[in-house]
Amino acid sequence: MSAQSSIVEMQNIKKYFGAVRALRGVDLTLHRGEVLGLVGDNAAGKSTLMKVLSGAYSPDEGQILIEGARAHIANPDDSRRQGIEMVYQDFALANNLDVASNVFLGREVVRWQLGPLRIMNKRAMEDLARDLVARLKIDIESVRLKVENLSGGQRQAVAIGRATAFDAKVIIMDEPTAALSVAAISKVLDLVRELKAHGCSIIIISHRLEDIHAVCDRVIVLRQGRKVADRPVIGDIHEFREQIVAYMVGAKDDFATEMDQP
Amino acid sequence: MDTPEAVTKRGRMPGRSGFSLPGFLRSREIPIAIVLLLLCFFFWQQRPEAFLRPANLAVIMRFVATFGLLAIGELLVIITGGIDLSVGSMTALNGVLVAMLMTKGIGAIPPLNTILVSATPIAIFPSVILVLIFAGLVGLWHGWFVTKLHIPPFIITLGTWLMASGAAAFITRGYPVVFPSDFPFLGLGQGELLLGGGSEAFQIPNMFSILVVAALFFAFILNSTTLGRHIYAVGGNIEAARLSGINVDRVRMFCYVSSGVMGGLVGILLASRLGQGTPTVDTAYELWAIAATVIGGTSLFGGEGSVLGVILGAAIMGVMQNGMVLLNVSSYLQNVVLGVVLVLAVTWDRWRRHRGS
Repeated sequence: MSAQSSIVEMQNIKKYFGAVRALRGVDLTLHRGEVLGLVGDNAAGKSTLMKVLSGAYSPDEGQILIEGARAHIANPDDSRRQGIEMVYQDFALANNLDVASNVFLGREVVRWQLGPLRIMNKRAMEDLARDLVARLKIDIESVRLKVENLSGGQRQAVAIGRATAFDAKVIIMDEPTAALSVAAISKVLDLVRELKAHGCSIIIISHRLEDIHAVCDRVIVLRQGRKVADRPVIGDIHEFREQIVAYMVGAKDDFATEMDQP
Repeated sequence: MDTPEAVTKRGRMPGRSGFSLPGFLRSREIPIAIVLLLLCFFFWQQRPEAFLRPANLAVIMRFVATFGLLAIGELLVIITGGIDLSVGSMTALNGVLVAMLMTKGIGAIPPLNTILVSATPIAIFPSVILVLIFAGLVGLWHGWFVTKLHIPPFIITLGTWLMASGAAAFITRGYPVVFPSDFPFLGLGQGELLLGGGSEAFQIPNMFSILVVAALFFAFILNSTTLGRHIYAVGGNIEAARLSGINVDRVRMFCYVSSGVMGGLVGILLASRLGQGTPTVDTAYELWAIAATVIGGTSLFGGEGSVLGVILGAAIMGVMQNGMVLLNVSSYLQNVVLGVVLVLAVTWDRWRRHRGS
């Protein structure tokens, strides 16, 4: 695939924690406007790989290209500046603040600056947050509601909405449906489709293969820190599940080399 | 950052809150204000000739100023999920220090008196600034231990509480440092603004005016600035705040420094009010300040609280204390009653929160 159509390219990413080889040289390409599923058993390296991309970890080896240009991502701020936003599994919202405050947390709209004090434009933030909620069809009565009064699905929607509020090119979602009810899951999946329609590129980490099947264009399977499959999402859910599980448990491996054999 | 002009021009959207009775009662400050008014009405009924006299109101206002100022600093720290136990003995130490500086000079303060030969009194304004800087540095010390070394705030400020009360006693050998009776500095804490004329002119003590200024300043910080929002965010979910790019350490430092400075300020005001720096006067003031913040609707778990609520909390305590004195309630019993009020306030707050969610 050419560099033009890829928005993120991670090349030969290696990450060690002491003697543990969490990532053993993983390549990952995300195309523009694509929804990519990232699956694997526990400790396969999915979250580690995404934390490398979001700047929470720095890799021991390998490089990251954003829109074809080499990117230096040393912390979450760097990654955010590159247009990469992460939606954390536990939502990472301040429950005591309202929806609008959470959307703009750390990036408040400033009316004017008084020395070190930055005075917020609350009205602008509320209006922008309301626009965002409407655009993404998020089902919330008012952006003035405190997050603690929202349901799990609504919180996830706010967390995702926040990630998209600042023209993110790439949104990483870590288990976006793990803690949700069935109804809430379908709303979150609708939200993913909505984001895709708006041109976002998305990576979803999930244990729920039916969710991956429902919204993803392509899926990458990691196993023991290696990529073992990279294929489009095709076929019906049963066929898909069977195949992916085979990769996850090690029965199949598209990228096996002599070196990797135990 | 997006330009807000386009959206701010647009009209109000539906869903903006109008008036609703349940929402009104669930708001934090209104019920506290109602309780305060009921208390005032009760004591006015009991002692109509004494309670509303300007001199008596001035007594209440000084009480409210003392604990309100301490409670504002405490509020900031508590919103971030911390606590500052040092403010009581910091008040004593700073009062002693400001009295020493003004009457004897920096060289007279042990153990500096063994190093510095000359000791000349320092002018009022520089003394005040020096003490406030010292108090701020102590706050910085707390913040540093809490954020960098991850020492629980309870412990590090308890350490300061011991150190400060010990130091205040050591410096003065237990004796108060007395100002000359005509010392101009005493006007700060003893003076008042007179509204109207005659012997029954309405008096607003300077201390209370200072409280109003401080309250407006910190209410502005908390409500209108990014710093204020980040203070609440740190208290609500410190990890989320960090992931949002907020410098959570700096936010918490600000709160501890503010609390330290408020302790210094109250120390200075009380030294002026009493005409002396007294090493033992302010024991347990921090607990009164914490009680005022809690009665004012602040959550000790962090993330919730307001300056207005805290002032109302201090006012409830001040009015009750004063009213009970007017009614000749034994001072031991007064503490029992205030303790009951504290427990009721916390219980009611819990109940309100449960109903709210």
